[in-house]
Amino acid sequence: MNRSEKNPELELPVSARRNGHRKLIELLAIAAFVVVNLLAPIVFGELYPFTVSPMFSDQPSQYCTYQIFDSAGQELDPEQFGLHLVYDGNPPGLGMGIVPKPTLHAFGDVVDESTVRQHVQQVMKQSNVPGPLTIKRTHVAGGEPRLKTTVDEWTVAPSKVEAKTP
Amino acid sequence: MSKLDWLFDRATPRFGQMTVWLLLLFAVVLALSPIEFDAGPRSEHPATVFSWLPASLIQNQAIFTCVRAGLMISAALWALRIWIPFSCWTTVACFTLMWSLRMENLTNGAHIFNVTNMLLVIHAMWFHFYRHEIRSGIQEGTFWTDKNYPRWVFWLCVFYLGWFHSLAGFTKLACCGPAWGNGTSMQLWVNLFGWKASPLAQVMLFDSRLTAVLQTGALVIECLSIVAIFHWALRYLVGFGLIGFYIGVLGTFVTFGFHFNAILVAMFLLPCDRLFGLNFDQTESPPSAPLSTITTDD
Repeated sequence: MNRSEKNPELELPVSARRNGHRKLIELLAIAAFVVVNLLAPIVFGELYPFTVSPMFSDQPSQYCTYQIFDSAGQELDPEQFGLHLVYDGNPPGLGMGIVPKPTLHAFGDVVDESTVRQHVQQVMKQSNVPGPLTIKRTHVAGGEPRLKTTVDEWTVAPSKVEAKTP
Repeated sequence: MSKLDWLFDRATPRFGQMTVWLLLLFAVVLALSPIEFDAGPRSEHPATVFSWLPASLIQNQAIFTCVRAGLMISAALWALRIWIPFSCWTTVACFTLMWSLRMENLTNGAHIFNVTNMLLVIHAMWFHFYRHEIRSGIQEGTFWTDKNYPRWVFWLCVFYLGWFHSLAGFTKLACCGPAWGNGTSMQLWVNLFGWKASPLAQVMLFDSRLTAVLQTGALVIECLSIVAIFHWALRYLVGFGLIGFYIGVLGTFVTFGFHFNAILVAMFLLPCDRLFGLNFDQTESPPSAPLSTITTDD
C-alpha cells in the first residue's frame, strides 16, 4: 500500500488542490471584508472610508438663520461675526479634519436676543467694526401641520444697544 | 466549506465589467472635481485612515495633484484591463487617498463616496483573485464568454449597500429612537437645504403628519436594508424602497451629491442583474484557464 492509497486527498489532481487552496484564501478575504465593515464603524465611528452614516440623524425642532447688514445696507459675512452655520445635515466636525471656526449659531439652537447682541458687540469691539449693524434673524420652528417663521431685526451699535423692531 | 460553495458560482463578466467601468467613471469625476481647502486648526480626532500622515503632506496641494493624476492614470489602466491587478489596487489607494484628503481639509462633507470606495475594493479583489483567468481570457479573446465573475463579488456589493443603509437607520434610532421620523425635522431640513419648488418638497412642507409617514417609512427601509443579502426577492423589495427614498432625496436635496449611491443601489438592488443576463452557474474554473496551468506565472 503506497502513501496515496492511505490518504485519498493526495490522489486529487494538483489543480483541484490548488483550487481548494485558492477558495480558502478567497473566503478569508470575503470574511475579512465583512468583519471589518461590520466592526469598523462601531469601533472607530466616523473614519473614512468607514462610516456610521450619521447624516440627518438628529431631530431638530427649530432653527434660525442670521443675516448681517452694515449701515449702508451691504450684507456682511456672518462668519466674520461668529454667526455662521456649521451644519450640512451631519454632526458638526464629525469625520472632518479641520475644526470649524467657533460660532454662536448651532443648528437647532436659537439663542435669545441679548446673547446675540452681546456676542456681536464683542466681535465689533475686537475687530474694530464700525457700527451700527443690522441683524436679521429668521426663526423657523415646527408646528402643526406647517412650519412657523418669525423674522426679527435688531440694530447693534458698538457702544450701546438699541432695539429697532421687536 | 461546501456550504459556502454557492459564493463561487460563476457568471460571464458582463455585469461585473459594466460595474467596474461605472465605478471608474465615478473615480474620474472625483479626480476632476475641484477642491477647496478650509482654514483652521486640525481636528484632534482622526477623520480618515490617512489622518496619521503629517499635516505638511495632507495639506500639500502638490500631493493632491499627484494623487489626482495617479487616480486618472490607474483608472484608465484598469478600465482597459492593463497591468491588473496592480492598476486595480492603485486605483483603490488613490481613490481612498483622494477623498480622504478632501475630508482632512474641510469642515463639512457628505458621505457620497463611501459606497463607491468599498465597491472599488470588492472589484479590485475580484480582479486580484481572478487575474489569471481574466488575463487568459483577454489573450485568447474569450473574456466576455468565460465564466470568470464569481457570485461573491455581487454578494459583497449587496452586503455593503445593505449595511451602509442599515447603519444610517441604526444611527438615527440610536440618536433619537423611533420618534426620529416626527415630520417636523424633515420639514426643517427641506426648508433650509431643499429645493422648495420641487413637488415633493411642497408635499413635505404642506403637512408634517404626511411628512412623518414618509420619514418613518424611510427609517424602516434604511434599517431593513441589510436583509437584502438573504434572498433575491428581499433584495428587489429593499431596492425599490431605497430607490423611492433616493428619488425623494435627489428630488429635494438636489446639491447633496447622492447620485452616485443611488445609481449603485439601482445597479445591485433592482433587477438590473436580470437585465444584464447575470446568471451564475456552478463552475469550478473555465476551460480556457485551468488553475493547474495558470498559477505558475505569478
